[in-house]
Amino acid sequence: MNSTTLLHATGLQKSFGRTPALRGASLTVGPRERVAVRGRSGSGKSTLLLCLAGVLLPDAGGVTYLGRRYDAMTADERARLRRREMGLVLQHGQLVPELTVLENVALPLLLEKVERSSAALLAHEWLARLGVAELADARPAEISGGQAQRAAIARALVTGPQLVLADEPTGSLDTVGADEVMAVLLEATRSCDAALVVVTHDNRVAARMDREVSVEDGSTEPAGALR
Amino acid sequence: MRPLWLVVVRTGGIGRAATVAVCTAFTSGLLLVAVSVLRLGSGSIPERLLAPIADPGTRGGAVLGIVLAALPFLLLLDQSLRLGAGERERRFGALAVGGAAPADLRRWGAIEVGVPAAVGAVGGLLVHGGLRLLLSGPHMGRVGSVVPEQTGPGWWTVPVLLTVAAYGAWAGRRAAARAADSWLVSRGLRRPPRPWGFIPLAGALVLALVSFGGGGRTVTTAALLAAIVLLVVGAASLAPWLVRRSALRALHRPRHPAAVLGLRRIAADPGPAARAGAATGAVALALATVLSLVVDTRSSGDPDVGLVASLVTVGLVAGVALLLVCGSLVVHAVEVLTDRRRSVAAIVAGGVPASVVRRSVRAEALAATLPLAVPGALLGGPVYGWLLAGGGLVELLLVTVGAAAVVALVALAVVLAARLVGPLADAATDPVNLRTA
Repeated sequence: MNSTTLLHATGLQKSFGRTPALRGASLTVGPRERVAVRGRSGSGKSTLLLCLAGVLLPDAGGVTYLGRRYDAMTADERARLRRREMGLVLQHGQLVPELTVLENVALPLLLEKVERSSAALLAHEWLARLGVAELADARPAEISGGQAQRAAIARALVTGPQLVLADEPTGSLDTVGADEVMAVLLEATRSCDAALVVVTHDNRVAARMDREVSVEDGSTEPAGALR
Repeated sequence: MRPLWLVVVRTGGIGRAATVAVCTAFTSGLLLVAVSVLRLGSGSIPERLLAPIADPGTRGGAVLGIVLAALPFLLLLDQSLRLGAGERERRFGALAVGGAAPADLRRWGAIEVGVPAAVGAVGGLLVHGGLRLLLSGPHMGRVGSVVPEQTGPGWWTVPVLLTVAAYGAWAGRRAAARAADSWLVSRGLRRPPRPWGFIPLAGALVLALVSFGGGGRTVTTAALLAAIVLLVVGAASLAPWLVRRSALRALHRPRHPAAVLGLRRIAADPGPAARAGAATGAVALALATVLSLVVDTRSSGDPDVGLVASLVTVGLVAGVALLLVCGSLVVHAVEVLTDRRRSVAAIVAGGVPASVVRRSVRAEALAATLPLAVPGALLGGPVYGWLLAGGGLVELLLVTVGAAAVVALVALAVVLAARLVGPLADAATDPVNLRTA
């Protein structure tokens, strides 16, 4: 790990009951870097992402973000770090069903006690940048999967994070929708100077990233040179 | 844009809020009755009261009985928080992805349940007033009043209402924490329950020995009451572990598919089934004991009207509790099916008859309730009625028939409740649930 490292994970091990998900996975992410994490179903890539995000604490090994260790923080501290410094995009959008699209995007700002009108303005700007401003007052159940993913991306970027973590962001979309969402994610993170880690099993998604890491049986191997 | 906390808190729905308020209203009302009875002095009481309440020697037991009558309402409150658990997990999971910290989720959960709980707790004053109207006064005749008219809860009202409201807030906070944790561990296994309940049971045994070992009347009574409380706590704590182990053992034997589905659901999440099972066991024990006492009173030749009336009151309360518990268990089972409607519809589309799914609801509820109802009824019936109270063959036959009737009543309550929610279970099997968004 050097002074330009954003995220550093080493020797991660994680089990769920008697099922091992990670067996010594390691990963380093630098500022503005784009990394694809690839692997078969059940290889542990989603678990790795959740450990990188601080949602799960590994059973062994450690993760540091800008030198701060996750295991030295409480769950509330990790959640606040995630809210301020990172954005999280999951496969199915994970929008709160009872909130409007605008309220969903503004959620991290409201949790940071940003004044409601300012939060609404900023959220609206991001929805407009991602081409779904007209859906601001709609509920998640009323919009398509692709639109929900754009809203989730807007929510992930509304606080200006340094790192965005995406778990199969195009996994539930058709080919055209997947290409559009991926293009939006790449452009939006580039405009924010944010690093991007994408878990994917899609070759076309991985091909658009700077670097690829392969996860097999819970362990990581670099796969392919820096592009 | 709406205030965030208000939106999140209101998502619980008016139905759940109303259920919470009703539960805390009856809980605080019954506790106010218990406090009124406790505040009766040891001197002469200027009103005719039910014998166990009028007699200072049995008053403690009567108070305990009134407090225990509030338990089914607390269980129903807990059960109502489990209704919609899947939806709450998804909502809280989405809030967590959006940046909410566990402390935020717990705070919203406490407000979501605490506010209706507080409203209901205050409503307990009306329940107390209503019980006083119904169960006190000249119309009670020779039986005597159950709720004292001359003595009220006094200044104890405030701590009682605050405690009930605080319990509601704590229950909501706990449910929110559970939902947040479920999102984190949803990719893995839930931790199986542990048999910690043996610890309070051991404490109950020790206190029971202290109580029967002699000593002053105060020590004996206090030890016995504490033993009963620990017995209830221990049985309730142990129930999830017992129920899960029973379900897993039952699965080793060949079973009808409906039973397999129901037993697997219990093994995966034994909490709701265990609580309902423990409550049903307690109700069966209470009902069978009441029948045994009625038989004993009858065989003594000159039945005490006051005693019989007390017993009938306890029996009615137990019957209402039974209906509440069985109903809530069946509703929970159907809700689990509704939460997993895509997988349920998939197995039906693959050839499993929808009737099997419907029957699995009944199988799950029977598997949760009967294993604890049978020993409860046996303990309160043949064991208590014959071995402890003494009696002849006729009395043994009567209490055994009574115990069997109690078990049959439990099964009937489950079957009726399952039949009532049948259409909801059928909705989970509808092929429309196979559609993807």
